[in-house]
Amino acid sequence: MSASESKSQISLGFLTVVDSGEIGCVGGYLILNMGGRPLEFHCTAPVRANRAQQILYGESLTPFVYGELIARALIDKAAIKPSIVFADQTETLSVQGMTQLPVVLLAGQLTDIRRQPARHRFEVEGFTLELALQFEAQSETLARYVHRFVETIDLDEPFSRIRDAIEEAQRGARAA
Amino acid sequence: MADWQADSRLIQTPAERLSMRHFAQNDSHLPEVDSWINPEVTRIAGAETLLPGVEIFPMGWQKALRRAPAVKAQEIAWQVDVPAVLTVPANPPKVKVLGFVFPESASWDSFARKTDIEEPTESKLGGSGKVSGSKKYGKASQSKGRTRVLPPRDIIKLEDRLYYLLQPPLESIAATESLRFPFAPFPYQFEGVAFLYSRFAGILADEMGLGKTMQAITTIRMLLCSGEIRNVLLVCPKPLVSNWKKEFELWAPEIPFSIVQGNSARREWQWNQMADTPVTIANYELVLRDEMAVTNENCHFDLVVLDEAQRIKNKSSSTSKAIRKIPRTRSWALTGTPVENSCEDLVGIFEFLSPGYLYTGMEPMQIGEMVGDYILRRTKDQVMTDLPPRMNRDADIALSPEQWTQYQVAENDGVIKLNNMGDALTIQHVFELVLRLKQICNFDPLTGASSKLDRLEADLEEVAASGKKAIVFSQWVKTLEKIAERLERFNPLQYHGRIPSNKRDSILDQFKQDPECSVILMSYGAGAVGLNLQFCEYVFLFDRWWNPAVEDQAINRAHRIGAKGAVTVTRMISSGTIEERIHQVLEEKRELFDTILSQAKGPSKSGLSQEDIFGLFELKLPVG
Repeated sequence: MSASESKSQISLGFLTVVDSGEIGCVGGYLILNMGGRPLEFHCTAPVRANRAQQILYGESLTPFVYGELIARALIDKAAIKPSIVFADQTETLSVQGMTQLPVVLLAGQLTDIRRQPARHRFEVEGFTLELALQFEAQSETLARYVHRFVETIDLDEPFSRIRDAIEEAQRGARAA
Repeated sequence: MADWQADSRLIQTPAERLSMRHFAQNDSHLPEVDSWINPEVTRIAGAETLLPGVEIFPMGWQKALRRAPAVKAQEIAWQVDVPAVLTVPANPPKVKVLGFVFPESASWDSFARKTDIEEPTESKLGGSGKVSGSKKYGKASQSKGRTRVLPPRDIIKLEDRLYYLLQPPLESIAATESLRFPFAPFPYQFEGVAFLYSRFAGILADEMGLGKTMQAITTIRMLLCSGEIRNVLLVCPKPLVSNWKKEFELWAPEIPFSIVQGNSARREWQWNQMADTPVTIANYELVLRDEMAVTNENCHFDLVVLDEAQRIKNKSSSTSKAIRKIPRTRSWALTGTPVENSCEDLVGIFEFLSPGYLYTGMEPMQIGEMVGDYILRRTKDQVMTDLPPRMNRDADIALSPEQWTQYQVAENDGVIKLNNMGDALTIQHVFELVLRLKQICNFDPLTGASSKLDRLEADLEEVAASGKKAIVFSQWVKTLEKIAERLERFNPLQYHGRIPSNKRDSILDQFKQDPECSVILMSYGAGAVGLNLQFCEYVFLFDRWWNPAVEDQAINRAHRIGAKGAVTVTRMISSGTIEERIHQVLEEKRELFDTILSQAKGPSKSGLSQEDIFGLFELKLPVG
């Protein structure tokens, strides 16, 4: 992530998981250029833990499904490796141990009682971000990207696009 | 000892337990006991292991004890089943991922000439928008709007639908450096852009004055800048060409455009260049005249936009046929009145948008349901809650004695004549009588007396005295000229079909700038559409048009975005005359269509039908 990277080369990933109840959890991963235009979008088929998995995984089930299963599969599948991956759910952060990309939690609007103290917390343009300590040294660069991005688009806006796209994909699947 | 303990598990009864304790407590006696027992017997019986199970009864120390005790051996099955192991698989479920890759849009700088845009002033308000005071739309955090492009229903493929769904909000695109607006668009205007952006066939049917022009230009601009389209043909009525030119310069200064005009050789050259011109503007008459050139197979437009698209409502007209032949990918229609007289008007427009989608004879409700996704219609009441009110005032004016005499003679004679025509009677004959009577309502043909003009003159005194401006509409140029003579002291300007096109813009500029010019006289035909005269606060309809939609268009030259105060509309109606009867019929129709409109979500304001016109004189519609 050198500062000399041209604007067109920089891309940002946005990752979220939608829990559709009985249907299961569906993950969406949107990669945007710095103008907010979509470059890639990936979504999963619904992932549903069975009863045994629910019992055996206990409280660790959601971080496991959100992060290790869904988020990992999505990040692995994408051809573009963005400079940052933003997530808006704490449970998704468990993917950090499985990817080299910095996964930043958009924590500003969350009641984050489970915040892990071993994360670097910083603020950019009114958004509170959390980052694994191993990437702390890059936080300034990341902040610069965020600063440029939010000149045109609010940082939490792409998540609503992902949710709409997941709903559209599910509607299409139901119709088919 | 360990063996004893182990074997003690086999002891079943209290007596057995007792015997075991006996041996356990007297370990030292064991050899002695051993000597009593016939070793063979114990071997045979396996007494080393079975001793705890041997029943020895303390019956005394008789000699008989030397006999081998009766040993009863019982074989006990000693086999424990291996417990079954149930393996619960905790393998994670396999995650199936569906991926979409989108082409990165072309650089938005491709059209940017980095034009210096003047700081907006109130005088440049034009048709749309408030002065924002900022060239740029500002940071996303400052622009709360998130208007997103939604895919229309006729886009089926998921990948295509997601492409639109995943685009950034239009406000965000507007915030980029290379796409600037002279004024901040209204939220509903962004919604209009979002509607058009994804549509290959659509009608923007906003009420007049809401900025259809700006919305179309902005969408064209965005599509061109994103590389989704490369060339556009915009067709409009001839008087509006200069207005489109101005609006393009204002709203899309970086987009090159050309206007088709001049002699046939020049036009032919222009048509040949259109593939390389982002926007080509032409009027309907020229498209019809140059049909061969514009419908050539080698000539293809990514988008064709029709302004005042009601011009092609009659699908059998030569204009409609020529327009429909133009090779194109996307088709948009702009009109405030997609249904002027009947649902057939909409069928005609859809022949251009999506041939065969609607057909003659369909029920209005069915059409309403089918076109819902193709039409976007907003009224001022819905979106411009802060627009100054429009005050309608029906001025019932009694004819002067001279006019009244003439009128009665003309009507009585005319009706008798019509009745005597029998089967030869046509709509044209009735129409001629109506026109004749309406002209008398304006002016007495012999003396030139006019109650309406007396009233208008009086009203204009007040308008001019307060420094305001007024528009007067009539359907006849001759009437306008007569009015001009009488109102000379108000420095009236005229804008109608007899004014050459090249002089019209300067007339409008003069009317706007010159404080001495208090009134402009316009014909419905020339002045009803496309003009921005929102600095006028008074509109007079000297005579009524056949169709309230056309009247509304005329009124909305003044009552539109940018209007500073309430617009007073005076509809002049001669009491007890044909004008009053027409007014009643039109009002009833307006109510009826408003009812239909609210159900079918489609706009409609009807004019007079043949039956209505015959009914004005209580004549029966001839059979056939």
